[in-house]
Amino acid sequence: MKLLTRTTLIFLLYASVVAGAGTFVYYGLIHKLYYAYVDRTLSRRKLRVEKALRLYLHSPADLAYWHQLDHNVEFVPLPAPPPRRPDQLRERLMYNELTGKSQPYRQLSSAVLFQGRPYELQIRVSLFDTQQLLLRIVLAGAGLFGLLVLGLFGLQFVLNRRLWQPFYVLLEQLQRYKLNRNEPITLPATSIREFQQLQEAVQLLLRQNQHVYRQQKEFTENAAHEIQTPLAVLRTQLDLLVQAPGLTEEQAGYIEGIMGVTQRLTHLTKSLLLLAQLDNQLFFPAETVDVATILRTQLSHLQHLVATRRLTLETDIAASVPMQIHRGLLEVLVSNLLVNAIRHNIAQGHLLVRLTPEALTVENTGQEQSLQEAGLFSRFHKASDGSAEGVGLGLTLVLQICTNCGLPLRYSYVAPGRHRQQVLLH
Amino acid sequence: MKLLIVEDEPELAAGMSSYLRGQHYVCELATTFDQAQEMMLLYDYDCILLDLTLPGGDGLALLRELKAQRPEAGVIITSARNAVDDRIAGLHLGADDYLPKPFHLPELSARVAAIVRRRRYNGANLVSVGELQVDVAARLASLRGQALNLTRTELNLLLLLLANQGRVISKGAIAEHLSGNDAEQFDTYETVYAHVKNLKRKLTEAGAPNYIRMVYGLGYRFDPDLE
Repeated sequence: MKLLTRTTLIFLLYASVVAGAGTFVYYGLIHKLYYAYVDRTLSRRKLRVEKALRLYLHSPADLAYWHQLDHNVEFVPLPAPPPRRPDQLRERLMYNELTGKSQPYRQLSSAVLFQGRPYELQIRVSLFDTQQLLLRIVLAGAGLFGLLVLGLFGLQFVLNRRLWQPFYVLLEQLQRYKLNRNEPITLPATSIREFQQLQEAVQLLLRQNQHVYRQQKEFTENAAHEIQTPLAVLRTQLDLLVQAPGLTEEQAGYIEGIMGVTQRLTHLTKSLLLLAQLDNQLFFPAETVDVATILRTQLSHLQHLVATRRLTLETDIAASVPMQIHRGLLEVLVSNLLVNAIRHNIAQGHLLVRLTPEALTVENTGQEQSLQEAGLFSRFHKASDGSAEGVGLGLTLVLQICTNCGLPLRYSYVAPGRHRQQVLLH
Repeated sequence: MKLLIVEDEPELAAGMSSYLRGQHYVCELATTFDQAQEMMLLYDYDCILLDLTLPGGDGLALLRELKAQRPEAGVIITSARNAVDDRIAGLHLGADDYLPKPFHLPELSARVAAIVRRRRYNGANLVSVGELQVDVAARLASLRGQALNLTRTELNLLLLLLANQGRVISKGAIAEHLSGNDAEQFDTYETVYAHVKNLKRKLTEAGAPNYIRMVYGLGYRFDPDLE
């Protein structure tokens, strides 16, 4: 939900609460004022009636005659003189001959004495139809509220187009931004101070990041050079040393040891450099590569290992799965997944490799516990099954390559002792 | 066959030329950008081994200039800069191969042999030792005219051995040659043992002399002079 939409919604919510509650408060207030006015009118009319009783009326027939002329004044004879009490005000419904409906009236009742006889004087005023009043007030409120909503939406549209435009432009540029391509971020000129500050902050941040990125890249390249060159010297000298005539078996043993660690060191350096490049999000150009071909090639490289460890290999590989990716990265990804599944397998275990256009799945038997929490993909993670080979970077590389290429990687523990790694290819 | 080694690290350059001389190549050495530029353009070489980071300039610039003047020259880039962009730039500029440092000398020798074959014999090319012949283009090995049924890996292994005749090739070098540089290596060499064993068996079963010798568990040597 957009920020502006959410703000507007909150405004609307508040406005509807005020409008809803306001209608009732408004109604109550008018109701009270109106009744006060009616009651005061009735009291004054009573004073006038009492004056008329004293000055102009002479017989009970006059009272009935008055009622005939004015339906709103009535004298009801009482059997006995009433106790002294204050006037009563109440509402009553009365049939109206003209409209043919019952209508609410406000009535004042008061006991009076006329020529020594007790009467109850009733003075009435027809009331408005209060329900209709309420309805009209609600309608008026709703109309106002509608106007408010329309206005708010209109305002939001205009604000969105005008005021917030620099923000959306900036957002779009940031979404497309790549560190390895040195494109500046520009904003249309704006007079809003927050946006100016935001732009300055973003540009400062990006400049710093670019700087760090360039330094990292340089460091990686320099480290590659500085570490690989001595390793290269070491290797060539060892290759020459083994050619030496008259080498004894004991000497050969020492040389083999040095060759072994040189090999490990070389492999470690290569893995770390590749990781650094992946971490730095160095740009890896993609080409159309057939995943199936690469998978078959890597499997054939590893065939003898599978045979030596007496693993049952089950494959289900689609004929061709073309994909846009960097070939070298895909090779490392596939090879590391397979090598891992072989290395951490049990003797005479099972290995399943399945490739569909949707996913690459490698399933292997192994130690009987889920590796979910074991830091499977963390750096230098050593498996607990005691296989001492490898430096523990294989799966980390797999994860980094997947992240770098936007391929989701899943690990699941499908059955006791069965592990499944899956790379979704889209 | 004449090679030019452009390399500023003296020990590495010495090692490379010493090994390749043993394979009967004539090796010349250039240690700076200017020296390399001069030699490259003055003389004709069968293959140039080119380091990219040189005192005095970038090897890629040398490559660009060389290819402009002698497009047919064979070039292998040997660089410690393993950045993908460099590799691609190098191959795009016309280098024939890219061998990242650190490499094994037998591997370098095999790649040089491939380039020389391609340049000298125009792709059609028989490598022969005694009665053993390998048609590299057709990827066929034969003994006394009779084809040997070798797998792809075994043929690659045989070519590595033939490019390094009389020299000890360590198990690590063989493993890297067979599995490619990017594959994660095993510390155990079961794969190497298996492939060498199979190749030896196929050769001896066809009646070839026992050319392939194990050297103290260090590696293997192909001895052409054995009878």
